[in-house]
Amino acid sequence: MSSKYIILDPKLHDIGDFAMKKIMARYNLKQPLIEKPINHDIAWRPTFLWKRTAEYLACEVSNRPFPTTIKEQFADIVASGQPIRIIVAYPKTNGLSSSEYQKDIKNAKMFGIGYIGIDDLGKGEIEYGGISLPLHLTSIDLSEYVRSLRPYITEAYEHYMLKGDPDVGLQKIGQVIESIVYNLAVQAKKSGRFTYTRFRPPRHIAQSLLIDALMQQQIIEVSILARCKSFSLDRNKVSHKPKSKAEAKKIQVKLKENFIIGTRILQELPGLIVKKGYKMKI
Amino acid sequence: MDKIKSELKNISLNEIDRNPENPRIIFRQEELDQLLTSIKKIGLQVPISVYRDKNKYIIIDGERRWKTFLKLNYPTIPAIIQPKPTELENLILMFNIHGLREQWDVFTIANKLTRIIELKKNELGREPTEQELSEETGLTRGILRRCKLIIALPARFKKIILEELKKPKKEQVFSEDFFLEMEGALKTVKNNVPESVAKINEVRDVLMKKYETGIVKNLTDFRKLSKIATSWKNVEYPFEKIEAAFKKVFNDNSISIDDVYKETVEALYGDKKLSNNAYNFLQRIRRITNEDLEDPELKETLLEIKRKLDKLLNSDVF
Repeated sequence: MSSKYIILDPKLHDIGDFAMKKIMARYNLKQPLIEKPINHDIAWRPTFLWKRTAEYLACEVSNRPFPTTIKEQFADIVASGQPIRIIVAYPKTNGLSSSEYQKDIKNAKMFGIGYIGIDDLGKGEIEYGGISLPLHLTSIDLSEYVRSLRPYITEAYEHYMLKGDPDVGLQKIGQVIESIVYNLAVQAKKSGRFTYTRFRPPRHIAQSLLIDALMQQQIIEVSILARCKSFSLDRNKVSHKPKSKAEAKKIQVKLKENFIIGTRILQELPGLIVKKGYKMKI
Repeated sequence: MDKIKSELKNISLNEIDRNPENPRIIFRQEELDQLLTSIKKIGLQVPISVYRDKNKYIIIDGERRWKTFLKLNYPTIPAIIQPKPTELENLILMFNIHGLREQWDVFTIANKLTRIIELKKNELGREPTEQELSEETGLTRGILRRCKLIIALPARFKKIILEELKKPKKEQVFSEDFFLEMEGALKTVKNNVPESVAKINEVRDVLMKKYETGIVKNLTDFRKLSKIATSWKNVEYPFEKIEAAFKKVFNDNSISIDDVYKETVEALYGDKKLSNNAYNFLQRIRRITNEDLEDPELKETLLEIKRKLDKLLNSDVF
């Protein structure tokens, strides 16, 4: 029996050894801490833990993609607010039925937990890298958006939660809002209701300047335009790389907040545009 | 063992070590998961038991709970601290605490039983009897015998069992039950027809192959080997035919135990069973009283039997 594990089921030792090497190679990491706590406040000891500059990368070795430990402790881990990213390593031959397995994979993705399935020959790839848990968002209800927006929302959510690029997800939301506001301004200008002279489409204009002008002339409800402006300004604050876990935690909290604000704007903006007699164009 | 003086304390998880004498070496993840869910839901219901050894606490009872607390990163665990036992006391404690409460794998028990027998031998100056071992460990004599079958296995077969035990029960092929059934049968063969199992490890390999390939379908088929082996005394089957039957089973990879049993002694055992049943029935009939016959249902059944017997005994068969 390998002596480096105390808690891990002996039948998963080989899976553990393989996953450790795979993750180290993929992220260029040194030896991890084995079965050690992240900190005193988090009620969970992952099988492997790497303390990186801007995140804790934890690997839980289990017999299934969405283990009981994660299911039970997820809320506590998220509540800690620490930038923790989890990857579960599991044997592909695991005795789960096809529907149980699919359910586990779905749950893992929904909870932002990465996974690596390892086959009987000891081969496997990280299929999903997971996201830092403070960024975790539950699934999005597409019925709250107008039909034309749904593909954009889906794409942004996929980047945010499923592809492990939350900043790209936020960027996508920002681009859609900018495009809607721009098209609103074009329509208002054509109709003669928007008379701001520095807005000469298709020439570029700074988003904040354009929104200020739209607010001044009350093209649509001022409060939503104010939210669009603040969203646009805030979005830039989360675009730099964190230098520590504390900074990463702040950035991630902000990033998640912005993503939520952006999606809420997109729930309300189309209705308010149409209310003023304009078309909702992206 | 002296009367135990114990105290209850919250102990830091870092100060605790597993008991090297714990016969249980495999804790399956499913079991830890179940306990984790339960501890999260209702907390720890029973403190663990430990003894102090130098600057560490060694677990007497509660390794699974300790592991679950570690997983949950709890700082301390409630523990009853007991005086340090001797090696033999420690082992016997393990058996009495764990073995009686959970269903241990026989392999797990057998693994440590060897050491208990050794220590007991030193203490008594002779081999402990089955009765003494049973009283000390709380294990039934039946389990002790099963353990001895496992203990007697060569190392390579023990390794196979250990590997199988790591798998969930339903995925195990060469399980403990497989070896216990096979070894039980081979022991009977050895006692009755020793020449047939002179090369016993080769016989084991053949039987394992047959089980793996489905030639031997059920574990209970091994019991038929015992029946063939004892057929010279039970149903007067000729000894040389028994040897020939085993030659077939142990040398021909394509022949099942069941087929050989059917070809050789099945009918004889069938006859014997019928004869025994008839004899037992007769003994019971002899005890029937007039009072019993007042039951109309019984009377009708007996008359029916009489009619059937008359018909049978008057037929050409007799």
